[in-house]
Amino acid sequence: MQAQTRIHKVVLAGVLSALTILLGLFPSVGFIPVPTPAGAATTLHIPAILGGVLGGPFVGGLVGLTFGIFSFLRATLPLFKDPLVAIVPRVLIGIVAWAAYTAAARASKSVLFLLAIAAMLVAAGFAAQILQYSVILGAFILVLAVAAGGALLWFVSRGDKRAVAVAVAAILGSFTNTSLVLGLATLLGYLPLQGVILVAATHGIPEAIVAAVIVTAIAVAVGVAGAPQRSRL
Amino acid sequence: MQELAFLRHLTLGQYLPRESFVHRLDPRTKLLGLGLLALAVSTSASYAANILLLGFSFLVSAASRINPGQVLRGLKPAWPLILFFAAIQAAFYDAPFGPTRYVRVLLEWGPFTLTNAGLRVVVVSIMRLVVLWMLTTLLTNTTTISELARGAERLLEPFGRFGLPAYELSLVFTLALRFVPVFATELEDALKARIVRGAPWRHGRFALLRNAQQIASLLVPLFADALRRADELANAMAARCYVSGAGRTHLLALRFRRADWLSLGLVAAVSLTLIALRNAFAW
Repeated sequence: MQAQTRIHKVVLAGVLSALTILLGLFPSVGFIPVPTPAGAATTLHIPAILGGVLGGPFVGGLVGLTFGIFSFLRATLPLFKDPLVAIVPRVLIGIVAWAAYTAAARASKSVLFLLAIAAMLVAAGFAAQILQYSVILGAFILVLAVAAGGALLWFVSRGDKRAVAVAVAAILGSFTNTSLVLGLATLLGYLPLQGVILVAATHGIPEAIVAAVIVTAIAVAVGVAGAPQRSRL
Repeated sequence: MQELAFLRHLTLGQYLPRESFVHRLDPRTKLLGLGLLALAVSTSASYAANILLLGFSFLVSAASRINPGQVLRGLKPAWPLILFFAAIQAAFYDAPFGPTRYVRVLLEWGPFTLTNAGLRVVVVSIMRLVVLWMLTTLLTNTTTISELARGAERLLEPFGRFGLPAYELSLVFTLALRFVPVFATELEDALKARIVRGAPWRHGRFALLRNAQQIASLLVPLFADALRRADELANAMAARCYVSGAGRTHLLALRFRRADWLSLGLVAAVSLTLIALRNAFAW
């Protein structure tokens, strides 16, 4: 169901923007409770990721723009009231998701395998850093990273290639959101550097996992990934 | 079951119908004005400039016949969080900022250092927040969404020659707004259908939060259905040749009047002066 024609892309961007706004208006669907410092992982970046995967960089960027503008308008913290912090990273979510999807869809299984192992090591590295501050939190993130990494490896070896590509796009899209928003906030002086890396890992990893799970589920549901639904009649 | 009435909570910025100077202005004036003032806000690091901008915001509020207290009420629940983040920011900021060129440490406690620049950063950030909040809230208070969409489209039209499809962008925005209530109703219906069939639902305080697990599991069907709708709609539009904006006329014609030129001139004068003199303020 990838949007081929111009009008399909326009409508897709509109519908996904509507979903972004909907998720933003109802925190019950916009945030999924996860054991992280913020208490919940945001799902608002998921439409942007889907836009990138299904409609290409423009659609993804546009939905990200809607996310950013909406976030900017509703922000009550000086940190997010800065248009640079609220809007620019969000536009990139969809674009990164598209790039990751096209690259992952073309990459061979072995390359994806290596990347999954590399990602697991990086996440474990972050977890090790967190261990210095808090053993419980660090251990939790380490377990999460290893479990997610293991799941991803199993997925790469057994799952449908397109589903893997979608999951990769979701993970990278989610990380773009986390890292760029926090990164710009630190660069512009809103947050101290020491705390930011901690927050990025403890919050970013569960959020990326949630995004990957939901986006892949949606992709399978609409037929973009996974085995084609054949009637059993 | 009252908490399930999702449609009640759908306010994307409350439009308040009044007879005021600002209400009668062309939406393009208001959008451009907001843009210029936002630029001025982000480049002003001095107390004087921010006080001026704050005063200007109150002026706009008066010209819209909207009580500034009502506008600021939206910020009230966020104050604890604002102060928390302000404290974190002040505790670590140690570089020069704006007119504060020589950093002087005011207080030191373990890893936390409060400097005079840090104090300025926090105060200016909060002032900026208040100004931007007031201006954006006033914009949505005085302009309907369709006016905003039309204004944005007209503003983007000149970029058409560089390949920017103003009409399509406006269509995306209009579609988004049209579909939000549709999806909200669908979400509500799906949830109610589950409850009627025996799914657990908790009542009382924080009802929606405690039922978040349930609601979250609706996310995948919601998205899948939305994407199918999008496909159907696009096919319907294509079948009716509604595919591009070329040669389309509009019912709502926007025209600049004298009031628009005057307001725009005033805002431009204030903003551009502040931007140009941003480093000239001593305090």
